[in-house]
Order: sequence, then structure tokens, then C-alpha cells
Amino acid sequence: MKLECKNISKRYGSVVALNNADLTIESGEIRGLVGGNGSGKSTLSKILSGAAVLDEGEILIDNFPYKANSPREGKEKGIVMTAQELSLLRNLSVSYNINLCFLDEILGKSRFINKDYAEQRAIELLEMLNIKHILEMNINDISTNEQYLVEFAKALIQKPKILIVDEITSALYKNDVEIVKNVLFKLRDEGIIIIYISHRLNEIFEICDNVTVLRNGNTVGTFDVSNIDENELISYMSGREIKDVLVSEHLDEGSTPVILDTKDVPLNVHNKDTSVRLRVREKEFVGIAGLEGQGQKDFLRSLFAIDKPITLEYKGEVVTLNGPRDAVKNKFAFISGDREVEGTFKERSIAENAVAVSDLVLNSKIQEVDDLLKNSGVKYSNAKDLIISLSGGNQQKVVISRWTATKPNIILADDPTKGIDIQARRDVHETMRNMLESGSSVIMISSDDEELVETSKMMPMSRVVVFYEGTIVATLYGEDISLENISATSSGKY
Amino acid sequence: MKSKLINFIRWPAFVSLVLLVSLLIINQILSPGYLNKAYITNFLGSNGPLIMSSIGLSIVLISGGMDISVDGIMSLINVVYITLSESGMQTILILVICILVGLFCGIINGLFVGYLRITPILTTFATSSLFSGIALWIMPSPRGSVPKGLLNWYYSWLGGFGAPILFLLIIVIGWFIIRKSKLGIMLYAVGANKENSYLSGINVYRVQFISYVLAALFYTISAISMTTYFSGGDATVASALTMKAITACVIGGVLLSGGVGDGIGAAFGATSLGLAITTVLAIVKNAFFQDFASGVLMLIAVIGCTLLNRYIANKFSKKGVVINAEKD
Repeated sequence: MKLECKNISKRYGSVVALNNADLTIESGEIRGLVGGNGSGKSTLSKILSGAAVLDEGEILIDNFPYKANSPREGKEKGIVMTAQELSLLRNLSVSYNINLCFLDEILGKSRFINKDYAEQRAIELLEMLNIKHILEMNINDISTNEQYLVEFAKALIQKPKILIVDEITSALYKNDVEIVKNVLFKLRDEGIIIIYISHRLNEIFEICDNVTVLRNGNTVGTFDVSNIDENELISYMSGREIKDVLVSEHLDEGSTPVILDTKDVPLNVHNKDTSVRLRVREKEFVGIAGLEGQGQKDFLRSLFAIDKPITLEYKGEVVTLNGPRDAVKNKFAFISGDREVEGTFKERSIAENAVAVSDLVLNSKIQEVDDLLKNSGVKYSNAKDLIISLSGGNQQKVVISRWTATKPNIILADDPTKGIDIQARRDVHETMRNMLESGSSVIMISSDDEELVETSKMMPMSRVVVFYEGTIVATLYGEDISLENISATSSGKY
Repeated sequence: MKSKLINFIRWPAFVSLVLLVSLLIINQILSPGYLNKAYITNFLGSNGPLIMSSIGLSIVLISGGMDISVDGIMSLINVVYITLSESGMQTILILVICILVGLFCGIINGLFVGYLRITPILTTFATSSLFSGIALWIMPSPRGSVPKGLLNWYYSWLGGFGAPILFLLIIVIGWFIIRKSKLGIMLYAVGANKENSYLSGINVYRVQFISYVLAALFYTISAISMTTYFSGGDATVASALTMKAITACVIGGVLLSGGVGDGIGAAFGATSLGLAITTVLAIVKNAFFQDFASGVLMLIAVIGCTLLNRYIANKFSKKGVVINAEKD
């Protein structure tokens, strides 16, 4: 069997997820698929499995055109994907979950569900994966690694011709990974095409035969794993030549006093409990780098007490924040990159959006709304217009002006420039620098490594910390803040 | 054995079953020997429709929807039934037409909510006014009766127990058929997580559509039973039934957020609501206080059952024993 993807393009609104990507795989191969944030590997696998529909390009299976408009169609044509976010139903038993995709298979003669037969089908797979004891349990009652194995079993039972395995091993224990690996080898030998996605490069080298690198929605190339080493692979992923991580000895950590000590913030990334502690100085810019889902978002959101209270050392005192309201009162600001959901109040005016926090939480009236907006570089005609009349970038600037109005000490920014145009981006960075100079400290996550390098250069005092699997694996200062170093450390090389 | 007991306690209907049994006992203490033939036939006749429509509603709620057109559909069936029987139509034909009208109502709800993805509560609020509006249009004031033969059968078959129990049995068997079929699993799946159901190859829109149609079919059967019992047409006969049915479902352990519950629990909940009225009547003699007292009792039932269900869900979860505990 042969799978060919030619010139696949896919856009989500203004964001280009895939741009003329190619992929050709033949039976009897495990193909690794790697790439940094926004490289398009998830989008490509969604298109193959039917969870997304391509805009342009064509897919051929054994020279016949293939197209799936829904996951159901994909499955019927033999392409199955395990979901990184798990596609399991928490209220159903393990055996029903495993059989869910083709319920017709477990109907008895009477057309009723045959529970025994469903369990019998499931148990063979569970035995193979060494988790037989969970058969009668609900998904809610089993641990995370077991859930990922069930997700894997749910894919296997469909007898796929092409199996896409998306980041399944991050949540597994070592011996689970061995089991999964052996199952994949067996399937490969049976002639099944396997696409294996993982951010753990050592696993790519261990499990895959060849590896395809994607970058910014485009295919960089396909390499035999025996002819390439980790540095070369990371170089292809980042588009920069990477040798070994070069970190010069850096002693100048800044002289301003520490304003915030987060203490150990507990995180749970891929089923592993970790903790991260960060000490932030006054007027310091801390960039957070890392592949998506390494715990950086949870860390930042914890600092704003979004889900549960947090105790920190702040301005030399131990402070407990019981929720975002407390955080705001203590002069914290939180800028979310998810503008639609966490940023704007859509049915409200620009002015109301800009003064929302000052007005409603801090009870301090802002007189000069126009000045406030202009300082953030918002382009608008009338502040009484609805915020949705503005472009995405301008909307985000309004959201940022909402926080500059509160004169915050700590600005927490979660990928604040996601999906906005380059000019708006620059304005946002400019505003941040002004805030730094007037005394705020900034902690900013960015999924774009280049942005971190650029902004760090702009700021008077800056540092980039790199998250990997729930811990900070590298701290970069000054000249060390480079694309090469960020890419290498994000891939777990440190 | 122990795990069977835990499974029974974890059954969403368990708490409402406890409530039902407690009410039976309390009523027995308050008015000994109340559970006589007259009480039972009367109870089944007057509370049967609520029990049946609650089971119907639970189908929609479990699949993550909401249906507040229960009373609209039932009122419409009521007047259609009576109007047709006034015209002297054959009984079997009347029943067939009633069922077709009910299915039509369900299809309208299902199309709007399932395929056009309009907010369920608004859609069914609007269609409810539509259906009861048509009912009032057909029959501006209460009148009419059901065919004599049917009436006699209802009140005398198997000592008066037969007919109401038969209707109830049809509904309960219907529920079990759904529960045990492919659709049953899909209803629970869609109710718990639409996105993941879609990724698992389930046609989410179709499942939602079917849930509204089946629920409407259940309301229709319930309305036929109700109309035969009352033997009269009244476009406002079923008003207040929707909220009662939702309450019965909640007491019965059905989560309004979807994915959790059992139609049998809804039936227990509805029965408890009926029994609670008997309790109130036994305690509170002053008619002006009875509404207040039953309100208090209902509030206690809703809060108590919800909290107990939540407690059980936390307390009795069977945490998997991690055997591959070696962390890397």
C-alpha cells in the first residue's frame, strides 16, 4: 500500500496551518512526523483521519484519490488516529469505549448490544497491553496512562490500514512504551502504514524507520533515522544549524530586587507530577519557550489563580491569591492569546472593553479613555463603536490597554500575539517595553521562538526559560537567547 | 458480591429509589393502609402521564439536550385525540394519527436542534408555544369525551389496573429497548462529549435528532393514556408538566449537563413527586399551606438527591490500581 499526500494546504481563518505539504509513505514502514509549534503535523494527521478537510491538494492511496469528510469516513476507509487529547467518553465503560467506533460489530442476533461479546473483543487487546484488570471500569476510574492505552486499543480494534499515533507515549510509563513499541513493530511487519508523532526525539530514533520534518506548514524533508543525528534533526525542525547547546557562563542576573517568587508551583504534565519555581525581578522580562503542552500554560495561569488559590512571595511578603480578583487587586495582569474567549467582551464598545478591569474590579474611573487607547496604538474612529468592528490585532491592543490602565506590577501574557498581524505584534511589544520601563515585570509565553528572541533583545533586562515536560530545562540570558538554543532545549536537549 | 452492591449504589437511579421507598413508608406511617386499590388506580391514572413523559424527557437530557415542549406536545395530542373521537373515527385510526402528530412534533424539534443547531431550550420553548397554540386553536374551551368502549376498557381491564400499567409497561419496555441498543450507547456518548463522539465516528446530529423524535413518541403515548383517563379535551391540560418532568429527571439522577442518568430513575423521581403530594395532604390540612409545603418538600428532594448523587459519585469511584507504577 502506498499513501501519497501532494501539495496539501489548509488555512484556519488567517492562520496558514499547512502550505503545500507533501508526504509519501509505503507499507511496512513506521514514519516519524516531527516539527515545532505550528509546523502543521496535527493538522496533517487530522486531514488524513477525516477530522479536518483540506483546502487544496490531493491525497492518493494506491493511486486512488482519497478524501474523508468526517472521522467516520476516514475510519471506513481504514485510516485511524489516536487523539493526543483522548477521544474517550468518560461515562462509558472501557469495553464500550474500545468498541465505540463500530458498534455494529458488537450487536447480537437480536440487534441489541452484546456486552459479553464487547468485553471479549476488548480483553484481547487489553491483555496485549497488559491492562486486563480495567475491563469493567469506567474511563473516569482508571489512571491517565491506562486511558492512553485504552485510546490506543480503541484505534487497534478498528484494524486500520493506516494508523496515526499522536503523542501517545508522553503519558505512558517506560514499560508501557515498550509494549506500545512492540505492537507497532508487529503491525508494521503486517504491512500497516504507521505515522508516529512525538516530541521525544529519542523515541523517534528508536521506533521509526524514517522521519519527515515539517516546518511552518511545509515539508522540509524525509530522512532515514540511521543517517541523521539529533542535532541535524533539530536543525531541520528549526531551520537553523544546531550544534551543541552553547550556554556561556552568565553571571549578570540583574541587580533589581526580586519582586515575585512563585515558590514551587505544582504541575501535572502528561501524568507526571512536577513543580516549577520562578523568581522574577523588578523590570525584568521573562520569556517562556517550549513546545505546546509542556506545562507552561498551566504554570502561567496558576500565577493568576485562575483555577485554584495560590500562595506566593510577592514584594517580600507571603500573599495568597484566592482568584483572579485577588490577583488584579495585587496588581497582576493577565493577557490571554485566546482573544475571543478570554479577552474581549464582544457585544461591548471599545471604551467599555478598555476600562473593564479598572471600572468593575478596581473601582477607579478612567477619565481619558482616548489617551489610554492611543498609548497602546489602537487604531479606531470612535471609542463607542463595538469592539468587534476592529481588526483582531487592534482588539488585542484594546485588551492590553485594559491592563496597562491598571498599572500592573506583574504582567502575565499567555501567547498574547497569537494570530495577529506583524504590525500589531510590534505595537504589542512596544507597549510591553513601555510597561517594563515604567516598572512592571513581564512573564510572557510565546509559541513562536522567533518572537521571544526579538522581544528579549528589545527589553532592558531579559531572560528566557524553556519548559520541557513540566520543568524548566534551560534558562537563557543575553546572547544565548537564540533560535538555535531555544529549539534545541525545547526538544529536550540540554 | 461487594462490587455488585457498589454498582447498585452507583446506579444513577439509586438515590431516587431510596427516596421512593422512604416516601412509601412515611405515607404508610402517616395514613396506615392508604395503599388500597382505589389509591393505586387513581395514582397510576393521574401520575402515570408524568412518569411516562419523564422517561421520554430523560432520553433528551441524557443526550445532552433540553426539551421544554413536553406540555405543548401532550396538549396537542390531547385535543387531536378528542376532536377525532368526536368525529366518530375508528379508535385504531385515531391512535395512529395521534402518533403521527407526535412524531411530527418531535421531528420539528429534532430538525431545529439537531441539524440546525439552534439552542435547545429556545427551540423547544418556541415549538411548545406553537404546539399548545395549535391545540388552543383547535379547541378553545374544554369539551368532549373518548369513545365509550375505550373508556370502559381503561377503567375495568384487569380490575382497573390493566390499562394504566399496560401504558407504563410500553414506555418502560421502550426505554429498555433504547438502552440496550446501539442508540443507547450513542445517546450517552453524545451527552458526555459531542466532540469526542464525532471523533469516534458517531453522527452526533443524527443522534440528537433521534433523541427528540423518540422523546416526542414517548410523550404521545403518555398523552394518549392521560386523555383516556381524563376522558376529555382541554388545551391546557398538560401545563406545568414540563417543569415537573424536569424535576423528576433531576431527582432521578439525570444530569442536565448530559451523559449521566437512567430513564428508570426519572420514573422513580416522578413517582416520588406523586407520593410526596399524598404526604403533604396527610400532614397539612389547611389548603392554603399545601402549595407551600409541597414546594418545600420538592426543594428538599431536589437538593438532597443532587447532593447525595454527587457524594456517591465521589465516594464510590473505583480507582484503578496502578500496576505499572514504575515512573520514568
